Amino acid sequence: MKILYSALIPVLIIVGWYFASFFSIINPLFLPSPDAVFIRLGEMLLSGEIIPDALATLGRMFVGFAISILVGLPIGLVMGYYRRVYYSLEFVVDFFRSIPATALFPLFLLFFGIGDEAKVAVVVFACSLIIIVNTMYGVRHSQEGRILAARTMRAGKMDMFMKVIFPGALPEIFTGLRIAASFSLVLVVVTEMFIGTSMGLGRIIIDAQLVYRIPEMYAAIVLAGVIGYLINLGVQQVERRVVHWAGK
Amino acid sequence: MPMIQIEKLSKVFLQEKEKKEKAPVKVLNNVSMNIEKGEFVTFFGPNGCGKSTFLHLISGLHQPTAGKIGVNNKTVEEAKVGFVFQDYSGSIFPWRTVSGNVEFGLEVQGVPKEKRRKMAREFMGKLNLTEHSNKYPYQLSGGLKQLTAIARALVYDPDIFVLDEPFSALDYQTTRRMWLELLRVWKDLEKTTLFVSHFVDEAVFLADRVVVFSKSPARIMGEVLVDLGRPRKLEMLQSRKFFALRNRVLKLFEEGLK
Repeated sequence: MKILYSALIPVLIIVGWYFASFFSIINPLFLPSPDAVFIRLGEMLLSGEIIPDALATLGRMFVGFAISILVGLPIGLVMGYYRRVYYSLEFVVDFFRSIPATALFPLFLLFFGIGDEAKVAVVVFACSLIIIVNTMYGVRHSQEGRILAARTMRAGKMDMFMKVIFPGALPEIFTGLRIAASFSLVLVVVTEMFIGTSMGLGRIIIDAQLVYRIPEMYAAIVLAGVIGYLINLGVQQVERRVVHWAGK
Repeated sequence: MPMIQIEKLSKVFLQEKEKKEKAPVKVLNNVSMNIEKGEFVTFFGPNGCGKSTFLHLISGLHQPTAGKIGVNNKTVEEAKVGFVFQDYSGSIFPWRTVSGNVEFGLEVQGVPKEKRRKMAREFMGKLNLTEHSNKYPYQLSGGLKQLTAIARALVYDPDIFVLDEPFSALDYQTTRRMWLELLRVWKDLEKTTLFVSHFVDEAVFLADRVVVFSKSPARIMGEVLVDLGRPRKLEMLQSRKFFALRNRVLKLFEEGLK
């Protein structure tokens, strides 16, 4: 039942795609037929030629995502907990999270060169902001009742933070992590396209585009989508286990 | 020497108004009273009169503007308080099991793991929670959640036991069951108990003494000694004596509204 509903729209999209290409509604230079794309994707997977690129993209994504957590979580916690830190950083955080990280490429190139460091840095810049904001609100939205209860039991500052405020913020922290995980993949692919690299799904996309190997370009895009979907699924599984109590 | 001594207690809040200036709002007006060890005192009064503030002052959650409170010859900050809130969903820890919740107070007060396990088990037994000890709050009914909160508040042997309208979110049938459960542990542990209620039957049924507050700023309108005898039985709710006591409380309540 559930599977039926979740499969319905994707199937319709693919059917629509067939339809569009079969009746030549869209120029195949912009959108080739689905079989051309899926056959190309199958070839690239079977020959293994796309695997190193996919792994390179995944590697950058994971490093960027991990550093984003290490940076974003502590800053978010401190900003949520200390009003003064919040007031001092609120403007900076809201300012920078309104700027597309990709617009700052020149700056990243200047500081980090054209290697992996620059790509990871773009991810960390954008994703740590997402994690900061969600963590901060998680802390600030702490249930007053739980804090009062802990105070009547004479909980110290450290216990209050670690055993009441932090666990209470976890549902919102996980929301941030889920958004950041998806976004980190997007950013890695985009940086691979525009900063350039010898390996990566973004490289395949841009190279194929430049020489009009359009099915290959879409094959890489579809793979990126599937990877993103699976990553989101993975984070959701962890979330369900850790904050199974949330919202109930 | 009484367990709790309250002398000329007043509380003024500075309320943020729309414009910048802060308007002082008096919520408690010169309240004095003593409470004996082991006594069960209920507080009854109009909504928003300052009953909760009164409990918060006695529990050391707020500082009084004027007056003094002594608990067991200690300041309120030094005294151990077991507090049960009205909103059980917002005050128990949803990420902890029943036993995890019950252990919380002991944990933050530095009781070693083995010992607090044992104490928590004992109190879950007293409140008939043993079969639920490994469940999470979202798996429990409202009544069981509040029993968990009661066990959590009693397990570390507080000097005073304070409840702020603990059953007002429960249905009537469950509430009556909770009264009996509460009276049973109260008798067993002989805790000095302060119970705020907005429900006159509850205030009379549970208490040794009902203290009636006026409308805000709350002052004491009077007290009614409840000589119904113990243990209390639900049949007493229909007795003539109960009605007479209830009417005396209501009379004070009406006067307090003027």
